[in-house]
Amino acid sequence: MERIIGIDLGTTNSLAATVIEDGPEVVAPSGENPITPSVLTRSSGNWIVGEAAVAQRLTAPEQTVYSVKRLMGRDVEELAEEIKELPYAVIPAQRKLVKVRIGTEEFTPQELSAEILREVKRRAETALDETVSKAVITVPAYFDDAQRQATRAAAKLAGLEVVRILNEPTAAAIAYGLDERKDGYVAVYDLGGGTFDLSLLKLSGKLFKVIATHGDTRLGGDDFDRELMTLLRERLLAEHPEVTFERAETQQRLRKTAEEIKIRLSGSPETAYTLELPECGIMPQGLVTQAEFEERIAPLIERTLASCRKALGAAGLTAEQMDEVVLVGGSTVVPGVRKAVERFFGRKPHVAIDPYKVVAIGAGIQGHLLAGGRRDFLLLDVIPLALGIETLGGTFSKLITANTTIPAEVAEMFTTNVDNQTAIDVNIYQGERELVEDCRNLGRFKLRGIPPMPAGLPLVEVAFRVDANGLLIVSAKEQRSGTAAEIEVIPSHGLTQSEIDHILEESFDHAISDFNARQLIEFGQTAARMFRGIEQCWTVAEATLSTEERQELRTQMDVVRSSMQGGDAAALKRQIDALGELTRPLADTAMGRAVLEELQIAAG
Amino acid sequence: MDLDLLEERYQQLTVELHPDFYANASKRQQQQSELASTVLNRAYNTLRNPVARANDLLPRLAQGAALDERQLPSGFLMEMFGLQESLDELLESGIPEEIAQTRTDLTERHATLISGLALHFAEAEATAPPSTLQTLQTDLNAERYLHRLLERFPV
Repeated sequence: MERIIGIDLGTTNSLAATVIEDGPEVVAPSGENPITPSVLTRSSGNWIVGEAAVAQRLTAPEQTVYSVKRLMGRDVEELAEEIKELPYAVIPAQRKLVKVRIGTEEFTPQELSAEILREVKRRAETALDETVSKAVITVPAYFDDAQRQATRAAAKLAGLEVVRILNEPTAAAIAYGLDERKDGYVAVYDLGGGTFDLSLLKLSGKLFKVIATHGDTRLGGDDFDRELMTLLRERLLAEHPEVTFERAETQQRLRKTAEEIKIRLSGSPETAYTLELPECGIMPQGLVTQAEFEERIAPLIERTLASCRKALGAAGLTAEQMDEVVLVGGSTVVPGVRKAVERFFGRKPHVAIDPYKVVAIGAGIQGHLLAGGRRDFLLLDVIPLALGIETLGGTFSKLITANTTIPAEVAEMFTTNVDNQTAIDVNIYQGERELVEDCRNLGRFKLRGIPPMPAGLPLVEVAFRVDANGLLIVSAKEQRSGTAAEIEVIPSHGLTQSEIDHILEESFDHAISDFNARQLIEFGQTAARMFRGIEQCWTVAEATLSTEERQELRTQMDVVRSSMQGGDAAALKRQIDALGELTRPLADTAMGRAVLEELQIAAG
Repeated sequence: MDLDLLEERYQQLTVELHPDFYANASKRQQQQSELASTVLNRAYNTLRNPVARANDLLPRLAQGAALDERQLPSGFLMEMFGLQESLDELLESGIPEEIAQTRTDLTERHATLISGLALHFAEAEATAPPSTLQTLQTDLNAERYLHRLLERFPV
């Protein structure tokens, strides 16, 4: 049985989980933080992903990409607001795609997400000591087809086969449901870094059924930061009207301070801050209270509650009928959010499972179930937004309505308008509005190979199928002649298969240099740890090593240092190993061993 | 329709058929499972919704006889145009009480139409004269209009 890991690919953070002997657990190399920040930075033609990239947001803002999830499957017009706030360049590309430009290079959001997934995959492989090639990847429930397709393409680029695309709140419900084993209605309130979802589920026995879902794919903790940034900016301008915010550095310092204030306000009623702006030569200080913060974010929280009302309305349920409310996502630790949710549902929300890990854990459990063909529980999910086609006058004709249990299928008959017409154009949309111009265009397809007949005579049956991943599959058949009409769906926002293949080919060329860059960083960190360890037990060294041996140790440390400046990871590794060999006598003494183990240095 | 029984049977069958349980099976079994689940979901969704049930049942009762899917009750279309326009203004003005009142009225009308359908259906199943069938179709056509109108109201 090949393992299928669960991956929560978040706006701010990503992490992996799987089921081990003791049960579901997040996976990370021992002693390391299981969370990989969804941040990546470009450094001399290579990617650095995760924790190491976070600091670069301040020092190299134009090369450091974050919140890439917000760009997935979207176009420049839709992203106008976001783009203004981002320090890196987002540019329009062909067919409504966007790209991120760094220096002379350009990358699709799919490629950038793939880098994050690759790092998560690599860390999981290190932790599990086995190759990982299959995954369940979570997406916001309210992601449309284009955003799901983009996520799948990203996984493919990262060398992962997506066995299932799972909705985040549903994943959380799995983790919760298996933990509590209580039947009833559950509302999952999922507020992450960039997206909000509310899903209503009915748990009965081993069946977890999503009844309705609603959400907002552009609402999350990032927006809380933005509100605080506005507050800081207003205060700053009142005192220093000369300050401009054009520089990416200034923006990033503002963002970092805002983020820190937000985090501290989750634990105390007020917090002081110092905004360091060396590029402006000022260091303004101030105080923000929880009440001030809550007033600023109140409209955002109200938007989440509007989604709650919509989902409840669609399900024909009331807030009082919920037996449990589960909070998911880092932004639900904000006290103002908790209070609002508690007021709305009239009950204390369930917070027993870590809101940062619960989605990955649910995905890990689902992956385990899929890998083993087990029947422990069954999850029935729904399509979040109606799917349909454009009909006369630009109206949207819904074929599959929102909240329909998937897999689902609807067949629709098409015919020709003129004699001997052999092709029909069909435009596919997704959304909840009446006119197609207010809905999302997913793509168009052409029915070809219709036998020449008088107008209105051919009957082409087009089947719109939504699979268990919430992805649309279209197929067609001409009824009178029995010939299968050819069909080719051109995605409006996504990458075509050939584009994915092309990127894959290119990425193989980069793989080796990327690998080298990553190793250089890792080995550099190992070396730094070793230096600290050696300095700390230098008294032991003086007692156990001869003068020559100590000299040799010092010399080798210098060799490692200069090797760290070079670009050859393999060479650095050889020098580190040699240094490890020289520290072996130290590790043999009790104190030396204690210090070296503490710093996780495996000598030799 | 016994909705509890429907739910119970649906759950039994879906646990048998769902593709999640065939992730390791042969490609052919996977396809069969996906297809079977799709058919099951479609049947379930049709059965539990009275209007969907009526829309599915009517062509079967008609046994191939053509029914006009555009015909509407007399005067209905003019009335709907009027309603559409006043609704545009109403939603624009945003007076909550009036919106709520109009919505309640429309919801009641929709409900009356549906319960009327149920009565006619009982009749049609017993005797099925073509005129009753067209009346049913006409009412179903009207239902689509009302449904669309109702969808325009904010929650």
